Amino acid sequence: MRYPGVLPPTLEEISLSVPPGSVYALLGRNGAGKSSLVRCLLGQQKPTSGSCALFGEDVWKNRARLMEKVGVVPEDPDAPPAMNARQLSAFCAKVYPAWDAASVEARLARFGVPAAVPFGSLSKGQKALVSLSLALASSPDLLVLDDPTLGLEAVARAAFFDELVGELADRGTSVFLTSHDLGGVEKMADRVGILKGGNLVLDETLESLKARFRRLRYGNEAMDDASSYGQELSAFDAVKVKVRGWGIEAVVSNFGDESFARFCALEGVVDAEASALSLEEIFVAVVGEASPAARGNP
Amino acid sequence: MKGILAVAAREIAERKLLFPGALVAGLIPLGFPLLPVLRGNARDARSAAVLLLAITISVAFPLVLGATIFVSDIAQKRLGFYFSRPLPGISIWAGKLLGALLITLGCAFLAAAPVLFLDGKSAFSAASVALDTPGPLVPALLGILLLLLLAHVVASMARLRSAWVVLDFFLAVLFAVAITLCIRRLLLTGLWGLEEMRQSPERLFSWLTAALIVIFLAASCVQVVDGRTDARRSHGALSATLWGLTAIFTAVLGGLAWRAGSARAADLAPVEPGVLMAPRGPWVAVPSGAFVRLDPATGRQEVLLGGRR
Repeated sequence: MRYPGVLPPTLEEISLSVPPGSVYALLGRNGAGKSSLVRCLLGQQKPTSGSCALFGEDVWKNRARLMEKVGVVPEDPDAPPAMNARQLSAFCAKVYPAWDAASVEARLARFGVPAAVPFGSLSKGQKALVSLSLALASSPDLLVLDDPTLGLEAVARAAFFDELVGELADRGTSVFLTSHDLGGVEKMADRVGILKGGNLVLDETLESLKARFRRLRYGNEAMDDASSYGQELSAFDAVKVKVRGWGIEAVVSNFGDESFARFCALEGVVDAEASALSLEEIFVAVVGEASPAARGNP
Repeated sequence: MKGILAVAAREIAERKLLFPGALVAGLIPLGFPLLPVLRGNARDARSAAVLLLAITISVAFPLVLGATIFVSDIAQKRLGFYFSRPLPGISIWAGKLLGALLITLGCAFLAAAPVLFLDGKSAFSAASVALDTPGPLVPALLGILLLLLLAHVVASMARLRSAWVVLDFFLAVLFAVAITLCIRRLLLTGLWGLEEMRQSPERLFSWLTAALIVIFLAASCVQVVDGRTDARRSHGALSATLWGLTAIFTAVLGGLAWRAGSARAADLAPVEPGVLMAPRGPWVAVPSGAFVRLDPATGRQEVLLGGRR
């Protein structure tokens, strides 16, 4: 899809799938096109070309029917501000084929969100929790969460993700999630996609992602010229290399135990150590723009 | 239908405070007999005041609701609430429109209710005669609908802030001029009994209102169904449908005007017994009490004195 007057497309040739019962987290910097992709996925925005399929059907054409199986928590809570959570639940009960109003009440009570206060008067965290309660009440096959914890404080974020994790354990709902809260995502995501420059540059399970990304720290006694650092990392597909006072620090994307053993045996490489990366560190390494001085040769 | 009613009920519930407000406003005219200046003809004054109140509500509410009921939701990105539910776009459109209509009618009725309750059926008789308004329900409903849709269209153009607004302005002026010229020509030629409309313009206004309502309904429906939550696409869908249908309407009117204006004397002579063509020039002679000559292109008629042809 493309916005008028903007030359590079916002999104181009994106293809991804969310296996049933799994949690797919789509990550990207601000403006990477995550929310645009979510709107296309929900049939609210038409792609400039091509189509978007949900459950194998064209979502633009069959949106109303497909939404029976989808629960949505938007980035900006969009429920009518004058209605309270109870009224919102009553409205939804009229338009969904199956609606569990009691579960909405129970969740709101558990979250401590007042059900009789107008939606517009709730805090941002409370709005997100109301949106989540409504999204889950139709027992959806797919839950779409567009950065639902953006701007929430730590307690509200924890409540949101705890409820979600509990729900997933109970029912096995598939989840498509975009978020900047990478700590929260890491706890629940099975698969991760990263958008950069309108393209999906990474799409794999969190497990394999964390297995192949490592931070390496080592000294190189053979190095006598600053411009030649990092050549020894070619086997690891380094994505970021920095020269520190004590040696070299690199983030590599193709780590393996055998190749690391060979690396340690290289002449001049001393005190090499490899440490695991958090999802946030991997994300920064993949999408972050390294400074020219730090970019290096690999 | 279930979806339409659910959306309409939600719109009404959101604005439920308007109803007691209208009822309270309707109680004010009941106090008119207490005013010394109106003591002589309090009932007439009460009727006139409540009628004015009902008319004000019937005009102001559609304008305000029309300008906000869709456009505010699109501009403030709240329409996604409906589009992420299993609701067809047409149900969202029709439900919101129905809600706005019912709010307007309900409030107008509630404003008039106290006086109706007090004076019964004769409540408006004096005012109706005085103001010459028979008050039929269908034209009132159509008028409210037209105001609602007109306010929606204008608010969409003004608030959705896309480049379409330049084209909207240009085409509005262009089509207004074109339609006026077409109607003028049709009136002059007296086609389809339009000559009678010249004497009673309300018939012409009824036809134009009906055409405008159909065009506005279609344009706003396409806007919501196809534009969805995308403000630019929404404005584009509205403008494309609005001006596309207006162009078709203008083309039909223009075609009729051209057809009527292109009639020649030779077209009339074969179908009207007794009509004689002038040997030279575009004139015909029509026998009646006096001889009249008629230029079909301009509608100009001239009585020939002395029976000369």
